[in-house]
Amino acid sequence: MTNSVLKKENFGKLVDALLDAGWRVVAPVKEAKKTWFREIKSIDEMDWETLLPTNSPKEFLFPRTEPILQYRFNNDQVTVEDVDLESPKTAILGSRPCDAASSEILKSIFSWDYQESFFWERRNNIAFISIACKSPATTCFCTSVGLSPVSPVGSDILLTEIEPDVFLFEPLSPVGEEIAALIAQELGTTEAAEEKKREFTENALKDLKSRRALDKVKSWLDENFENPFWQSATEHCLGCGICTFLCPTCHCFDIVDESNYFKGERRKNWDSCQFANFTLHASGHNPREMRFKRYRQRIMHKFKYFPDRFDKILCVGCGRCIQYCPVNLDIYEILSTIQTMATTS
Amino acid sequence: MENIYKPHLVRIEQKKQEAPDTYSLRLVFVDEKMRENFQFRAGQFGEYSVFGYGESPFCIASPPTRKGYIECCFRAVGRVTKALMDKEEGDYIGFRGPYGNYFPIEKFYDKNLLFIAGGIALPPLRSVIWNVLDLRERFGEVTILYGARTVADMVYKNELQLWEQRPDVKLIQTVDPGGETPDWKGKVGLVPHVLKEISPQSKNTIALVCGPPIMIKFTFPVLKDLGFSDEVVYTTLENKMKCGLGKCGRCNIGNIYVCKDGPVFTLSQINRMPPDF
Repeated sequence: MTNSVLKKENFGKLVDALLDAGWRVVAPVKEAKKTWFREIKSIDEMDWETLLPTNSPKEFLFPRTEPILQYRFNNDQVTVEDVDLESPKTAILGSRPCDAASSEILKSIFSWDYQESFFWERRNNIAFISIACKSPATTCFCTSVGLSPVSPVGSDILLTEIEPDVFLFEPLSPVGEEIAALIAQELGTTEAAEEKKREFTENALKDLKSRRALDKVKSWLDENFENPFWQSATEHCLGCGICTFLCPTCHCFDIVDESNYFKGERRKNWDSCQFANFTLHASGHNPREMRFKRYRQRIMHKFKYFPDRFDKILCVGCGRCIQYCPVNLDIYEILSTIQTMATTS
Repeated sequence: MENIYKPHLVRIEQKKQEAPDTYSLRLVFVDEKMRENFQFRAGQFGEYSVFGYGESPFCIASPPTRKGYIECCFRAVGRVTKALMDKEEGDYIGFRGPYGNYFPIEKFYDKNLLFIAGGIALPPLRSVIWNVLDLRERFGEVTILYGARTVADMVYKNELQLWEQRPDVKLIQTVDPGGETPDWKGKVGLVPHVLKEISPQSKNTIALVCGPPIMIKFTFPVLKDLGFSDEVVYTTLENKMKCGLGKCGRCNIGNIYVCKDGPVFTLSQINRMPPDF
């Protein structure tokens, strides 16, 4: 294990070094009373206080809207062209282990069978410089889905605050090493790094003690597509879809055309399984007309269908959907109830 | 890396009105190499696009045995299909595909084939029918039961006539009660009822069914009564397949992606799916 450390006062030098080396730096920034992942030019813009920005970093992997091709009309002719994909080298500083893990999970969907160039060109240019979570929020449940406040999955560098304002600096990938080299002279060393990290982890996990294992959920879902529970548990859902937009792993999209008389674009837009017209057929038939069916789809997709296909849970336990649901629908509570039903039946 | 969403340009070589609001198009790839090398199997689908309006998924309605072009058939009900309806011969549209699985035609060799189609759902089976008729000697008896709401709603009327005249095809046409015209020579009755009435033999026979959900729902039990096992009953599902590539996440039924694992399924596969379609 590395014993390199970076002091908080030197984070500015890390940002400057990245900018000098041509990286775009994204970090949590306070704006309109909330915190968002935004591009920064100086460490002073970074919000250190908020655990999780409102938006997830997925918009740097696949933006909420992006052109996938363009075309021009010329009398009766049409010419179709590829678009120039903008994917600057991007360092996401201050991402949390859950957000970094989400980018690993998403790789499965964008690479099985067909490779999706738009995702991959961006993913290959992104580095996650994650900060381990000292005190998880009450909405967090990463430990229930196989992750933790110090999980290395998906991160290129993991920073752990082992002493006040002193961060253990662990490069976890070749890109992480490359970035470490940029600020080699700012890195100090510490003694007993392993022990201090263990202590940090134990403290962080204390806050998640009440979060249960959800290991029986999948087997219950396997058998209970039709169960009155779905209706009763999701009765108060408004179908607003905020859970899907803020979720770092929700990836469903729509494809639409936008054009004028001379030219146009085909765009890929985020979409949500919580909307009625998501599955609406041209004939008027809708497989998921009722809201509880759409909520069931969300749970099933994350905790059964995706694991069935890709052997991974499509959830990182970040809790954004719990935090921002306007009617306090709590996915963890639902899963926990399922776990109880699965254990007692 | 290749842009998986980029369509090929195709020219509309022929446009025909098949029924009120329903059109068929014959499409030719602009790129000569594509025209020569494009291959697909009966049952596969594609994303057809009108630039400026969007994309819609339909099956490839022509058989793979006819080279140099593909055909599609659609009802103008939405933004894209209405724009497609307004296109004329000589205009250019986009096509990407073929996507999904297909009817395992080789498995049908030496078997009798029973096609059951309702309304606008004839086109996917039409691809198989012509594929079979183009290789006629390899198959047993061919029976086609086709029903529509009204006589006017029947698609591919010319081809129905061709099939009717062939001694090696048994064609039964029916319209829903009230949908007949004074000179209608076919049957009057719903597809499941007519199926029961004609009671085709199930021995050594494959059934291929495609139609609106309500027709399918009542046809399966009749087939079962006639002795068809779930493994020899095939159908093709049409969900809202936006990307066709297993990415956009809206065509799933349980853990099955209709665009990748389908659209062709046997009844025994469908019976294992959750009731989410």
